[in-house]
Amino acid sequence: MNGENIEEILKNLGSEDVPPDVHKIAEETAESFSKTLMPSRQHLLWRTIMKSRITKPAAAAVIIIAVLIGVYRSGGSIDGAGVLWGQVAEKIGRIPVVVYRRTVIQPQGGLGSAIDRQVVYLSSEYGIRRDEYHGGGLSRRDEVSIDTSDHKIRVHKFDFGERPGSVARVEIKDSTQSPKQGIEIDEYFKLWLEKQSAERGKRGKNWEDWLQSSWYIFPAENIWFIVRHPLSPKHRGQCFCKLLADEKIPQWHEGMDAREWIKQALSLDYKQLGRDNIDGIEVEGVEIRGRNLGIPPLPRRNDEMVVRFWVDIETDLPVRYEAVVFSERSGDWAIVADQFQWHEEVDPSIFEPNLPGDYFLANVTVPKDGQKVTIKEGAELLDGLRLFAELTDGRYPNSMPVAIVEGCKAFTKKHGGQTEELSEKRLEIVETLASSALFHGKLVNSPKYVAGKPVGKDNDVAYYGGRVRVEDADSVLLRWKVSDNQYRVIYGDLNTENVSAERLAELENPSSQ
Amino acid sequence: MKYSRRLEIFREVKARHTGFLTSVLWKLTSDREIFTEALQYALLGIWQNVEKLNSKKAGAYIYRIALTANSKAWRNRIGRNGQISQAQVSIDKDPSDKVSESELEEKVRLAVAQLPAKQARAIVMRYLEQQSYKDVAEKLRCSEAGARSNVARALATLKSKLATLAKRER
Repeated sequence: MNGENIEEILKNLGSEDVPPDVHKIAEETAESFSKTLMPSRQHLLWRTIMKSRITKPAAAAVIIIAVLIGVYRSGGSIDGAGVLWGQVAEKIGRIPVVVYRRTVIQPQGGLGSAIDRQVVYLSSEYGIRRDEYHGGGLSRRDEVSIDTSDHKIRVHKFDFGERPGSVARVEIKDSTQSPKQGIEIDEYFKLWLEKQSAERGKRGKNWEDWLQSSWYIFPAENIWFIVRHPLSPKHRGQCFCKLLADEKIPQWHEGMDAREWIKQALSLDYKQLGRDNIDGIEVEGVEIRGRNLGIPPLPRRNDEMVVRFWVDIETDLPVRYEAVVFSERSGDWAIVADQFQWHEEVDPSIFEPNLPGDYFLANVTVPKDGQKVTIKEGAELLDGLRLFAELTDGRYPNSMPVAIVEGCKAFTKKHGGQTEELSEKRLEIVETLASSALFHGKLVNSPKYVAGKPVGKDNDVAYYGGRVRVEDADSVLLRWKVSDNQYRVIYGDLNTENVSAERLAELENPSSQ
Repeated sequence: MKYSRRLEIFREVKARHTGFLTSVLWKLTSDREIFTEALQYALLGIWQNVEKLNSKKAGAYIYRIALTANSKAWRNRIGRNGQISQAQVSIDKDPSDKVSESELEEKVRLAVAQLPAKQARAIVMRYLEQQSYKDVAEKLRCSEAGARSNVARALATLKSKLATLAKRER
């Protein structure tokens, strides 16, 4: 094929008429899409003012009952006669905190399917956190079933995604399709983790031990912050910070907010599934079937979809939510949410990243003129620290990777809502803090890894921002090694000096003098 | 911006551009399933960028949205590694076989979906919409020479992509 051929073919494509049935498809698609944008999808962008200090480890355990109070266990049907479906959406819409676990089967764009565990913490006041745990890979030979009779997810004929070129199938089995085959999903995860342990180092036997990343959304600041905890030392401790465009926040919220899924599902025609028992809780369920239902977190596709969920007849609160998209072409997609906890209050520290000292900021992106821009690291370390201290009346970030998050929160606290002028100012703040944090990241991230093995020098970086303030002129705020016996030191008052290793030891342990 | 206002603008923009999107996306897909998916992505893109589409730069944005939607829809079909599934697109087993015109068109469509954004826009404006270089330059916000250069580079990229595709099939 030569250049002239291509031009000719392109011209042919250009002269092609749109068939009448495609016009009809377009009209229907546009109409159907418009219907999904009903006003009830609007979300309140929360005013978040953080008061608590960071206290939680990054890899928080899934069970947080100890820090939660006011669990809803009342207010359901007066006589337990059945679920009051008309009141379910309204009731859960008033509950400010929801925590749930979800199992997600998702095609990977032609590279097989992934099956993962996630735990989502959602607070109307503090934002969203999603912990992702290492899961398994699936391929076309694999089949996943969601069994209606006992509410179990099972994996059939698994080979741990050794043939990643195709995608897994998901099937909903009803009670007539016995005997049950395959292994239950938790057993599958255990087998998969055993394989991972053998190949890549041990962590633990349960999926909770295999935290892969934590995602935080700070809606008032438009910030998405990601912390990675992968197995590979090459990528461990990498953090990413992204300033989101305004319109991305409601989308993100919608995808995570189980209250919204149920509200939207109940606004459609649903079929009652009757009474059942899930893990000892008496429930009633409903089912919605159709194409392009437009209910989050399902993708907007013109494929066959099924949404089913069950509600505790005593409390009218959801217990389990299942959503499946069947697509022969791009692969089946499923989400099962369970272990719901509905609460009045939550420990705010759950929504704040608390990072080990060797974690570092690897990348920052901001929406600028509609484009995402990666900020290059510069030498403006002191500018960022100075700005942070101004924003927080003399404090420094608890850790450098979270400088942008904490700095923007302090800015929101001082200046409140979102006007265009404030957004521009926030962008300036992000860029200045990013330069600082990325410079620190560059220091921490040396030695670099090549083929999983460290090479180059160790900068021996230490940061004490959590305990040093502007008035601590003699305290080391940040230091790193510049040569064999020389360290660069930044003090609390942001003066800098090169000192010997011995002098550094004295500065860092004043009581030993 | 208030939600109700965004909704109002979305409806206006949708009414204004659905015809254009239908025409361009059909020419770029010629497959009802990919077309539907691309149109859904485009509508989502309009919703996400509704403020920009209410401005003077709307003309440029709608192209960007259409081409991004087209690429996403194709990517779902072909996988992120850029390879077409054997089951989805007919591939000539014998390289000596003459490929049919429709297969060539399909390959060109696939290659257009993989072009860099600006080159894809240049190709669509120039060939699929048969616009003059002056109009292309205006929409790409560059000089007429720049528009010619973008089209030429796009053709060269297309040629190289098609050669790569042909190699893979062998």
